[in-house]
Amino acid sequence: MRLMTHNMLSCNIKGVTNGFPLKIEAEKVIEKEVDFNPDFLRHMFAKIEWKDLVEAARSLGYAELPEDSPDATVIESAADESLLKKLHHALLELHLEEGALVCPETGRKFPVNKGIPNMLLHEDEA
Amino acid sequence: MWFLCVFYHRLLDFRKPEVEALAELFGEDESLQWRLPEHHHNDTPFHFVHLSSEEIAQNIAKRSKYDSFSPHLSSFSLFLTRNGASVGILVKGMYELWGEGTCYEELKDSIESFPDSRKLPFLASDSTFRISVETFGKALTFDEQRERINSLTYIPFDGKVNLKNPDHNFFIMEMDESEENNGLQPILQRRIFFGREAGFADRKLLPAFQLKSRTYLGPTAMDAEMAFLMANQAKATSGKLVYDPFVGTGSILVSAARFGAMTMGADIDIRVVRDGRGPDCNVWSNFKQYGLPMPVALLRMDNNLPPWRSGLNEIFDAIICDPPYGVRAGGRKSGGRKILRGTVDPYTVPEDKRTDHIPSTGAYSLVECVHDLLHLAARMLVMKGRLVFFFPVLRDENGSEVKFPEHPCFKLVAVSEQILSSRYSRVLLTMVKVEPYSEEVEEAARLMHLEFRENHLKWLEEGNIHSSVFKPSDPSQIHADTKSFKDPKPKYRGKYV
Repeated sequence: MRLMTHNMLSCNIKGVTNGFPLKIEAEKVIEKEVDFNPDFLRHMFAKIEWKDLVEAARSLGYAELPEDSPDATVIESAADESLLKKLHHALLELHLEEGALVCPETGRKFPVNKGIPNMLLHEDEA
Repeated sequence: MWFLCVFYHRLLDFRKPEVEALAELFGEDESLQWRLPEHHHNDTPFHFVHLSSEEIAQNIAKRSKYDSFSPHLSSFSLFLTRNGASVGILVKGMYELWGEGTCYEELKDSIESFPDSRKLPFLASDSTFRISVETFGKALTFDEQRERINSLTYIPFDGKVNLKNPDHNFFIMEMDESEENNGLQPILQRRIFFGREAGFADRKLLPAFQLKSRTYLGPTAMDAEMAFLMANQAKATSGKLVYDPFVGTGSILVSAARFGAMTMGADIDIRVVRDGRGPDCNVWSNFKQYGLPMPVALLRMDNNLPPWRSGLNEIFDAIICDPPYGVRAGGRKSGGRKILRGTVDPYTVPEDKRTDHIPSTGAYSLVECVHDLLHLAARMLVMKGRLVFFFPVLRDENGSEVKFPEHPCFKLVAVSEQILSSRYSRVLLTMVKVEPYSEEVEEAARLMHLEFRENHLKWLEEGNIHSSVFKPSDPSQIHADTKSFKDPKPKYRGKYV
């Protein structure tokens, strides 16, 4: 599971209001190379919650992202690709293979196995 | 500029929408128009299309740069990663029309009246050319072909002839009047076209991706040709994010990835999406097989209770899917049968059993499934993003108006029928998001959904399409009502293929 996905998910148990972001319990993390596509990254930048991405990247062992969300103009400009490359690495190249995503409100764990998060709710949670 | 677009004679309903979607992808503004050649029926492979530039025509029917492709993985994956561009699947070729007529004298007049400014650049002495003769519905001897080529002496070809790899390729296309023309509608009068090839399609993509050599298959894996058509309808291309909420074995995403898109998929069945049939036979292996970039994410989730965070919206450029219609595969959603009916209260799983508990799932009717899909798309698609999905239709409707699910955020831009059996078809619906999502819109959509469910045939509501498709035909009916067996539409190959 990539951090791009993690940035989109929240706990959807009935009654939960603060289900995002899910805390990451990492058991196995790997890095897989992905082709760098700046257009795609720019499109995604507008949609991600930056602070939560930084936090999640730290929990997987990557601390290179700046704390504060960069200005949109910096990302749009073609000049400096180093920031985009860091974003690329955090968003797409870090993988949580085994572990769990934990709801901040209820503590419910959503397992992640073979890189695939299981977000299905139990019968009493729906 | 007007081009003669020659289609492959199959999947008739899908041909024009594909060209329209690709034209829009390649920058066509509002000037696309279609015109039928004289005396031709709409099912003909020949259509005139107006496009604002030759470049768009070329992109739609791309000339392949690779004359032969190697089946070996290394060079194969190079071929694929270097050339991730969308390609029209049903377009055989696009030709700039220089003249047409019912006989060679008329053709000559027509070509001579075509402006020189448009002809001369392609007749230059430093270029090479080739003229070919194509006939439809008959075969010509070599001498007959030569005779026709030689009749074009009035065109000032200054370049050299190159039969193998010419700069410019010219075609004389001839079709005679006939009763039955290879299964096509009869043409009432002989017609001859002369044109310069602007682009031709290379269908080599299809043998490479065909399902019979796919690593990981499921019973409802989408056939390669159709998956490419769906990807084109969705305008999948590099830099776009495409989502399939019923991903299964990933057959649709593979085609979108081949056209350069980033892909994401989800399914409620964890065995299909996570385990597959083993470490080398799963969704990832399908992408690996063709050297395509892996999906950004694969998830297990229930579309009826999706886990997207509340602030998330307008993130997907396209949603392409084949929802379960309940014929060969039924949809599932959370909650066992008894819970959904209210017979039993939702039970709490004891702590120690929680980790390995597999939540029960219950029946998920097609109508509800499609409503959830429209809701998902309304919220998660970017403006002007496309939703492309199949919807089943029973065929014995006696031609009565079929209504499709609607949503206030969407405009239906294409409906293409693929006949599956004498009893039923599926239609590929292409919808474009034209209104942003809001609470008010959602309320209007909910009412539309209820109305659709109420006024629709029982078979849709109860999910009884399965029994309608598979019910044995009534023997008394066969003798009594011969009319119902006479297919109102003329039978010829194209529609059924």
